[in-house]
Amino acid sequence: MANSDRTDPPALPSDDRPPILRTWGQMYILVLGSLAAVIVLFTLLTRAYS
Amino acid sequence: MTPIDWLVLVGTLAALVGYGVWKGRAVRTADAYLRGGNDLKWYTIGLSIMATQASAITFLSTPGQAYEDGLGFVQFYFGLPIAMVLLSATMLPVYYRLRVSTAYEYLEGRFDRKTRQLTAFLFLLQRGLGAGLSIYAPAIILSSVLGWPLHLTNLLMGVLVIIYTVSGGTRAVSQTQTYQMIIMLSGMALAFFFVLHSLPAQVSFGDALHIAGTLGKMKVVDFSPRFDTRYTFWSGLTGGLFVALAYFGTDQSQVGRYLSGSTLTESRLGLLFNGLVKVPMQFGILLVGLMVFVFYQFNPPPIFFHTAELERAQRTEVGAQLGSVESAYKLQFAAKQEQLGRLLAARSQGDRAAEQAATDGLRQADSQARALREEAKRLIQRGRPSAEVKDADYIFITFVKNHFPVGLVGLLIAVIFIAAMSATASALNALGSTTVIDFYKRSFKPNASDGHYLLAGKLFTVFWGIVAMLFAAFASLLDNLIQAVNILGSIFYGPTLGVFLVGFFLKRVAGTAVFVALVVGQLAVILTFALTKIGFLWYNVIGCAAVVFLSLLLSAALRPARAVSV
Repeated sequence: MANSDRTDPPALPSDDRPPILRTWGQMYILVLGSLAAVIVLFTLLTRAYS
Repeated sequence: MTPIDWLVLVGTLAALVGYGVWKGRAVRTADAYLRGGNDLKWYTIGLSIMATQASAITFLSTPGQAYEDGLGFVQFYFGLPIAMVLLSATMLPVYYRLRVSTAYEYLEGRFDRKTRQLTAFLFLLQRGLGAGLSIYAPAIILSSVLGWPLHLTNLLMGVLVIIYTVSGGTRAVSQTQTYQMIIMLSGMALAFFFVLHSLPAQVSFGDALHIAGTLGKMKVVDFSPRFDTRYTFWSGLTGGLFVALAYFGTDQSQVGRYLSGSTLTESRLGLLFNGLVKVPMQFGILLVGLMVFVFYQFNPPPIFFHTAELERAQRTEVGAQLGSVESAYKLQFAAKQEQLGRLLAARSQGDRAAEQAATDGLRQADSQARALREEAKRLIQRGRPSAEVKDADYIFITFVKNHFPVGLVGLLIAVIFIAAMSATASALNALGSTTVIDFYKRSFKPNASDGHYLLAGKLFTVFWGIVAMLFAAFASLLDNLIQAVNILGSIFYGPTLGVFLVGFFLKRVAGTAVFVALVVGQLAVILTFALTKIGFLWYNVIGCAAVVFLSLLLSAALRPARAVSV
């Protein structure tokens, strides 16, 4: 049956804010930016020693 | 092991089990037992997530992987931070809004009960067997290296885990894992500094990296779009993302960890913490293995690190040939030493021509040493056809046992025990919770008292602990353990991820369509495993794609029929 109709959940509480930075979007950019930085570092390491 | 090592090993294990039991004494409700009471902070969640994923094999195999193939394995984890972001942004808020206790509970709200219970059943099957392997895999290595009976190491690990997992449930598991993770990381950090300290005085960290790079171990990132290379930037980003989404998003042993957060914010932070720390952590463990590799450039390594197996082969008809290959290996080591000395001298004098000549000489000597090692493996296989000739898992533990100072040996063996315990505890806890919430409470005893469910949770955890230990006792029948673990996961993860992806992103697909798609998709993966030679990592993709595609197809086929019937 149309179970998909009963899946829309209630809204999130409005106080769901990250403790640092303003939004979760910025937190995600921080994590993905760190990944990018680590990959750049690994690439430099590869070029220096491989 | 010396008495001090025994004291450190027994003391560390006893302290952790005691802490777990002590933390579990306050757990008096089924909610606290099965869901952790929903009051955990982000750092407990983050460390618990990491400890669940870090099995003993992580600490035994990863350094060995660096020793054999270099640092490129770290690329496998490149998709993980992306998966953490995607889960934080999509699946986690939905789990929180619906206040589900298990990932499979969401599927009943979204689809129906049969889809929920089939997915939960597949999880029980896969994780129940996986828990047995997570006990057995380190037990066989420890028993071989330490000379303990295999049944004793199996029993010891199983019983220790059951004691505190049963006593305190989700809460005790998560809180104990916080300290387990701290001990594991401290142990590996100490190991790193000790290996570095054990290198000859004239060899700096930079020299060590240079030697490793000269011998082909420093290709950390490989951007080549090759399918025949297992670990590349591209396979890590795509395959790693896929595996991480399935594991962290749909496996209750992980979902249970982050659903025990006090708020959505704490759970999100726990996941993102894992996304930030995981890649550097794995790199650090690989770096330990790399330094062990450099150490063995200056100190004679055994020709084969699984020494118990080597000794057994030496007693067969290939013993004499093995002896002469070992002698040649020792001579080759002396030749490598000479080239290494020339290389370091040329580097310190800035003599580029001499450095290049020494580099070529070192590579040639290393290539010949590796050929002798392969020859020894072939002879071992010939002498004992049932022998396991992949010895990478034994490299780090052999190094620890033979070269670490008193006390640190006990600590590092404790780290391996702890890692096995933390991964198994999460698995048993998730198995017990899923059995109670998705089956017992849902279909057999829906209106019992809180105390009844608390007792049921404990009894089912004991049950799964016994199942895991029994499976561990028979796991020796499997040829290759690590492969068995990976194949087992890959068979079930793909179809399960497919169900969740349909649930979250294809809103028009209903229960019956996805249920049939799951049954067919799962059978398709099992048949692929049984009848083809396709690499097992592709099972994830095949299973997931089959479920998504069939769901859409069946949904389209079923919709007009329903419209007519209404």
